[in-house]
Amino acid sequence: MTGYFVRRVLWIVPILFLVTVITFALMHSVKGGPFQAGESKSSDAARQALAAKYHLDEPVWKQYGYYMRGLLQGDLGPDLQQRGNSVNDILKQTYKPTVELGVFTTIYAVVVGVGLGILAASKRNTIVDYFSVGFATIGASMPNFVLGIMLVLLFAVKFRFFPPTGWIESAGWRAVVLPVISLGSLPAAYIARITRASMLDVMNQDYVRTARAKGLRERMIVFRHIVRNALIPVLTLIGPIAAGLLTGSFVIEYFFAIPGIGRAYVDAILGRDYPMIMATTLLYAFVVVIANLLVDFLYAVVDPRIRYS
Amino acid sequence: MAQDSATRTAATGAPQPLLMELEHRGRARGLWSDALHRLIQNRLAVVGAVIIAVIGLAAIFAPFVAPYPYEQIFPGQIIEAPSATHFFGTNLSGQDTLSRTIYGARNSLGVGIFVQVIILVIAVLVGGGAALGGKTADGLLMRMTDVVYAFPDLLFVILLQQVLAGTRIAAYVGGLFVVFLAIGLVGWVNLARLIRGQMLALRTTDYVIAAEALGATRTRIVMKHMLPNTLSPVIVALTFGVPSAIFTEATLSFIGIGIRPPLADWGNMIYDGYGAVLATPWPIFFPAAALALTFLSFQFLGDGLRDALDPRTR
Repeated sequence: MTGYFVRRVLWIVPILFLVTVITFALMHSVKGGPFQAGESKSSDAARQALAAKYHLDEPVWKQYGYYMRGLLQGDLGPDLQQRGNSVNDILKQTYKPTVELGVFTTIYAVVVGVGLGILAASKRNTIVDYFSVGFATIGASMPNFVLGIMLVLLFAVKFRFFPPTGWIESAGWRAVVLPVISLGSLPAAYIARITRASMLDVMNQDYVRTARAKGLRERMIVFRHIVRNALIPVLTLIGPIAAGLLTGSFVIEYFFAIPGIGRAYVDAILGRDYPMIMATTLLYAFVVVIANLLVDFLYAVVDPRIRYS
Repeated sequence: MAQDSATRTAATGAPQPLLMELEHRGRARGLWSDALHRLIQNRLAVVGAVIIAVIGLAAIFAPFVAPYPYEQIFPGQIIEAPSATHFFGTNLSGQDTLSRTIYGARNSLGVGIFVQVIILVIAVLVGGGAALGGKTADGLLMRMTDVVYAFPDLLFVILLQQVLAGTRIAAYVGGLFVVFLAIGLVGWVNLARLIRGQMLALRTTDYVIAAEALGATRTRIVMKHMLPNTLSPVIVALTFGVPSAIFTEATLSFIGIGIRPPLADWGNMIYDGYGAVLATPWPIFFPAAALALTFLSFQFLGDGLRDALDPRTR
């Protein structure tokens, strides 16, 4: 088993290497470049000088060589949109809101999802169950930006509880609420469904019947015997969900004007800002790979029946 | 419920079970008709299927159903509330929202279904190839899957969309299909893993071993025993995949990368309506409601299909 995880960790290196190759090839096959005629007032000569400065006039494989040499020394390259800044600088400026948004949203999704799921399953086929399931279904039936629009209209425009845009630095802690609910409700509903189904599944197990036959108190049965086992499949969902929230928050970042990496990434793709595209893809790929590894590891820890080979 | 229908089938089939069995040999009567029976008993799933059918028909016959062409502009009738001339009102450009919602269904359902076709083809080739192609193929294909899986989904879609938009493919099939293709090329990983896992599990089941022992050919075992048994989870995954692809496309259109006006699309209608949202919510309400309705319908149908196709789940 240890061997398995050592192999998995080592395997991260070739995966990330292939990610750099694929991304580099893809982004250089996008039509147009960062310094295009007509886009700015700069002359042809100036554009050529810029292209030469960033090696853009050389063959792609050579550019890849330059890039990788820098990358291995921790240099992510110059930012082509905000010239004078390095990509390292931009990431330093933008990572915080994205990480905060991702972490808060994951917590929200897990707490609300697991809570609703447990509630619905333990009050099965009662009004509480229907209400929880209905809430989870409807909450998840809209893309996050539609939910965002509705929340902003209601809680920022009509009742001025929360600021409509901004993030902690510019608008205070209240600014967190609406983006987190918008982004987290779909995964919360998903977690609630899985939790409920898993709870119902565990409730029918023999050891639960035994616990009941022993005369254990109901609360003890639910939390000691049911919830603990029912949460194992949920646990495995948290990794991909957290990774998805960290890397998929750009629409919400756009909508709520949150100065995070997601926004910077989309701007970089549209502006053909090659070093920035590379850096963010690589960073996100790293997050996804680590999240998945962590899940498999946790899975083996909490469920001794799981054996990898 | 499952038990219910099982006993009923047994009861009606009781007089001459063996004969019936022989008559229907070769046709997948048991599994599919039984599943259909169970599906019809699931009220929510039926409602979902009916709504999907209605939206689908409206999309196909959009030119006949929609009161106006989707790009027609009514001068002076800007962001109107619903009325007798414009049932859903009008948008900022003075276009009829009902007509645009109906034409938008073409793009949304189209994206949902096309993307699933692309996903299915890639996933069957990769997942099936990995399960049946021997150790080397399995290792290679699954490592490739790991790499694609490492990319952040939505952002990878945007990158691919930008790449494809500049190629000859885009010139032939149009920008719309490029969006479909980008979503499909990113979304096959989970299904491929599902198919591989399912097939590997099936290889060790008693009936496949029995078939092998009886001397059935490899092709026959795959086509007859393994594919049909892989089909159920695949159908369910594809059904849930449709609304997810629709959401992805709506998201892209919302940030201005997917389908752009004057083409009608639920995502870009919502973006467009957001510009005047403080004046009136109607231009946003209808495409958002259409998205939600479509999502819920596929969700209910997917739930129903899962319960119907897998009798072991309660």
